[in-house]
Amino acid sequence: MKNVWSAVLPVAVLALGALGAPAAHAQSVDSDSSHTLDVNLPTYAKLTIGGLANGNKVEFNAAGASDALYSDSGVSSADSAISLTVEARASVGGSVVLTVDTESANLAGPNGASIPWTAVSWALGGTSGDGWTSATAFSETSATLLNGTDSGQRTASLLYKIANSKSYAAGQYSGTVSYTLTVQ
Amino acid sequence: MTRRAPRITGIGGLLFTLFALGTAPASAASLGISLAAPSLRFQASNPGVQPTVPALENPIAVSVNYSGTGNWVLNVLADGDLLSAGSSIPISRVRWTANGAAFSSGTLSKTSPQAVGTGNVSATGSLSFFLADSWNFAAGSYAQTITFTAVEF
Repeated sequence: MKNVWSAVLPVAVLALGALGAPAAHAQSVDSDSSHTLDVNLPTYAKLTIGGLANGNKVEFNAAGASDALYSDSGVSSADSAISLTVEARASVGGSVVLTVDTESANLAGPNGASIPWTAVSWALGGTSGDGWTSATAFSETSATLLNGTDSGQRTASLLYKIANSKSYAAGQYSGTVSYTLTVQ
Repeated sequence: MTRRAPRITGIGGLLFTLFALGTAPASAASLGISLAAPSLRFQASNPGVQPTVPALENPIAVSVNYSGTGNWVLNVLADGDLLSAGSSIPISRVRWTANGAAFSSGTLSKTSPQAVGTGNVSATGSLSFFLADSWNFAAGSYAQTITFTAVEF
């Protein structure tokens, strides 16, 4: 009898161990599932111009005879400074460029009179973000206001001025500028 | 699960024990998870207009199939941040909302598993994933792997 037990027990213990293991595993089953996140962020540019009281016009009022009108400080626009908000999603190291271009070389006045755009200057203030240039006047018909890199939001205020001159014929002058934001 | 062990009273008792234990696999728990989308795609545009970008696959059906007498928990863990060439987006910018009583909303993490659901029976629901976009993120194609793990406890 003793021999029988000695033969059965090892088998029984082995069987218990073998059967016990699955039971224990059954208590801690698990399951995995992997998934991929794919995100596509395209380049994007948005330019917002605000602060203009009269539509899209920047107006100058040089009425009056004060010699101050002909000082170096020039005549500020009647509007308060306009606001520029540049929102750009650029590639890593990509450029963010804001230019302002005139549609012609001169502001057109009465009877063929004109004022060159180079008489118009500006002051940038309240800048946030990198890349705002120190340009304050048109180089012929174009100027770069912002030359930055990488994504982000940038803001500035811009106050136009015009250098008055007694040589300008009286009358109303007008011209158009276009702002272009390029993001790469 | 508790089980009363019969007394061993010789070979007969031992064989009974073996027989009783031998029935355990028939009632062994099984646990499986299924998420209807193998990949989650986010197509961003203007962050000012669409600051939150939904995954194109939303809502995504999720199911946990469980046959056991315990409880299960479903977690998700990201392998890292969203990566592109020379740029990254914190994985914590991705969150999900859940429908279904067993499932809960949360935010992805690359360091600790985040609970997606729990229960003691099979459950179905849906998950919707969202990316919090920003103008500060560089343009590009980003990718990362997330792994859902269901565990019985």
